[in-house]
Amino acid sequence: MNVLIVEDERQLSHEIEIFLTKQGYHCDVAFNGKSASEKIFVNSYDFVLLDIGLPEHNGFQLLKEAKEGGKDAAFIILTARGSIDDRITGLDLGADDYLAKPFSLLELQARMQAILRRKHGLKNNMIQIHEYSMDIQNRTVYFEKNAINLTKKEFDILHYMALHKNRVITRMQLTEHIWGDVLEEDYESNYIDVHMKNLRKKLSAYGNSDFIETVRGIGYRLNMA
Amino acid sequence: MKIQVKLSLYNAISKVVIILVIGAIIPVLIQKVAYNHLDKRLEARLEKTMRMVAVGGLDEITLDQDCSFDSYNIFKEEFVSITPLAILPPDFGKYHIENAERKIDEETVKHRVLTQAFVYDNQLYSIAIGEGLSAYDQLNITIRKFTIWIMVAVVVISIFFDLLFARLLLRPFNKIVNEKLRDVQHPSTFDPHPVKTTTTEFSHLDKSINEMMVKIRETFETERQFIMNVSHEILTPISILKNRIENMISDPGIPDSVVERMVDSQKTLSRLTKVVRNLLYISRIENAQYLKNESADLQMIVQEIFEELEELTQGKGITVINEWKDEFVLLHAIYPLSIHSFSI
Repeated sequence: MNVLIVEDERQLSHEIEIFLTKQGYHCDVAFNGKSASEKIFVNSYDFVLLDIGLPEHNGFQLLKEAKEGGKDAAFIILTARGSIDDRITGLDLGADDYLAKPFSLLELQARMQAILRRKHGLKNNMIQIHEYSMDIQNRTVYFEKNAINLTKKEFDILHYMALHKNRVITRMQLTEHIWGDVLEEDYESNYIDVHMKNLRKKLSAYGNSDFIETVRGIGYRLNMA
Repeated sequence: MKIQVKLSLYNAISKVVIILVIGAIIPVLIQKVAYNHLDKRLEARLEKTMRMVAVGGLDEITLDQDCSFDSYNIFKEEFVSITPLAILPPDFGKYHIENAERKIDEETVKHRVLTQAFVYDNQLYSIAIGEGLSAYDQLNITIRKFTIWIMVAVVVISIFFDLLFARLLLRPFNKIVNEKLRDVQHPSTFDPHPVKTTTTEFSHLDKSINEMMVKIRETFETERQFIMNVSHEILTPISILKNRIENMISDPGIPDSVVERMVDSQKTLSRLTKVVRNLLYISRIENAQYLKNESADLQMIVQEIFEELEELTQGKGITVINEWKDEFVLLHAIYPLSIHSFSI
């Protein structure tokens, strides 16, 4: 997968590049609008991660030009400008998603995968997690043919962990993914633990749930071969 | 109450009061004028009768056997009456006029009567000259009715024209109030075009509002730009730190003890992010950058929150009873409040 990171903050683009490269993406970086415009029209990208506040070139203008030029890369807007007008403008111009800074890199990857599934109309909506199968379309987890009664939050937690399998996910990252910024700072850890406890309990009623590992002092990891 | 309604009410009430006052005064005035006129006629007749008596004596007038005389015209509207007097009245030589009712041929007629005592041939007499009041009373009633109807008509017409004029006069003012004050939800939707008016005060008011709103709009825009810049300047470095910490946490080469410190730093950074975001939320709300016409069923939202928190509450043996009635609390207030309550 080819990704173009359009971001004038070099340190930020560098961190994104490190993360995505580790995930197997091939990354290209542009630090200004002019360079980004050239790269978009010369190369073929699957994703363009686009900062709106670019020097020399407005991000919206770049998006508009790329869409008019028939470029079918998926555009994800990354911006510190969190105003609703900006979001509406970006999505109206054809952006596929919008992430407000500061965002989690795991969240970015989850959004990219969601776009991939949506854009390419992937038929296989099932994720296999050991003895369990997860139907993303119908939001149901099965053990063999038995549907396990998970709450919305429990399903979201399991799905997020499955997307980032074999990787430690901190309680903070899980909280931000599930609740955004609604929850207050001091209580999210406990809340995640309660949900995780319930999730394990429900899975254990059918089979093994040891694949969900608690990493002491850090968070959780979903181990898969 | 609208200024137009107030003006119209004032006009209507003041005119009705004027009608009532004039309606009360006019009959008195008419009666006074009529009686004055009658009295002068009676005085002239007395003078003429006394001159006849002085020239031709009472023989000029046919007296009855009891030396009295009564003469009425055929409609009993006027009469002259002379009767002998036995006692000299205290106001001898003076006449007095009063209204009196006289019974003539079984018919009672109201008259204005002038009475005076006089001496003729060493005999004291009283002369009474009267004129009927029915014609004057009739005239009085007719004039009163006519006057009242005319005045009512004048008042109705003038109120109508007052209303019309007030409406025309206040049209620019109403336009200023409606389009430039009441209907303006945000400075960005303000229309600065001047309202057409020939009234100096309205023109001045419109100009002042336009200038004020343009200034407010500029201030809002400046503030919006400032918020955007602050967002960028603060949130971008936070974003760099956040992503760097995430990358370091996922680096298998970093010892667990360091990762734990990283997770703590991540929490601190998250706390800082929330503080900045909350400040930006407040600024944006103050700056009216959020959609206003959004409707939400808060009762349903509260129910959803409680359902989500059910697992947490069950784990702590807490029973939540939703008795929500008033819809005035926002989601961001309800959720943290609920979490705080269950976390004690």
